[in-house]
Amino acid sequence: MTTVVSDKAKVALLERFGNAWNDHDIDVLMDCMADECDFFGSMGPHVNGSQFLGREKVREGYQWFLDTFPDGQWNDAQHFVSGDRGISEWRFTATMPNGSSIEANGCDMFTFRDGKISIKDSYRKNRTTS
Amino acid sequence: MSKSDTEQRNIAALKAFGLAGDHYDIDAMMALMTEDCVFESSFGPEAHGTRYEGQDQVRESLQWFLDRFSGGKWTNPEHFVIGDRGVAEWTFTGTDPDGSSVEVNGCDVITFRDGQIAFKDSYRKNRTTI
Repeated sequence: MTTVVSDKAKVALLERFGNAWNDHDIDVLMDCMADECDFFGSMGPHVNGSQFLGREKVREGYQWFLDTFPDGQWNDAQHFVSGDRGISEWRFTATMPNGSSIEANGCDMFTFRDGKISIKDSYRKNRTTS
Repeated sequence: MSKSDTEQRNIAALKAFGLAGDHYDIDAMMALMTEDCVFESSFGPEAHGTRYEGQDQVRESLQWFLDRFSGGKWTNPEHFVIGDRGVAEWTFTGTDPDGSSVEVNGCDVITFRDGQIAFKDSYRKNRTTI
């Protein structure tokens, strides 16, 4: 049975999800994800970046990201939802593993199922050195 | 104008913009953008990529892209609109001037005003070589 969830409730879900990224709370992140879920990272060898297919891989991908950027923050987030699609926009700041800092705008394209996130498809500006 | 009328007008503009791009019709693309339009490209030295302001700068930057990837195609387009915000997603395939082929997912995050595109914020996956 399909659960009917309002756009407003999905915006609240994206706010909770975004806060969990800033809190580096993997359990809350995964609680926002559907049982069947995929994550496509902004960078990687595939046409859609990097692929994490299924709940276990998604968790590993998120954990890798949190571990790689221990002070990573997603700032000034804005969220929009239309039916089973939504988007979060943010400005990512973090210290890179090599000690340099990064600041780049980005967004997540979401697909929802039964009031949870079934696909997170991420993009970031490809920031070139000036 | 009701919210649904606004959204129908905006999604029509977004689809028309995509078709104009498919036809390399820069005049049709620019006619769908406001006088004071802003385009932030997917890459560049700033956190937002590279910013182009106003019809003249935006036209020049989009023309540069069309010239660089002549024969490029945007396939599998998907669009959704929430009020005066919208998203277009696609897979871009083309040939770089150096002869290498490009196939990469991307998206435009759009802000509309009066049925025209006021802000086009572009992203592409940062595809790494395998």
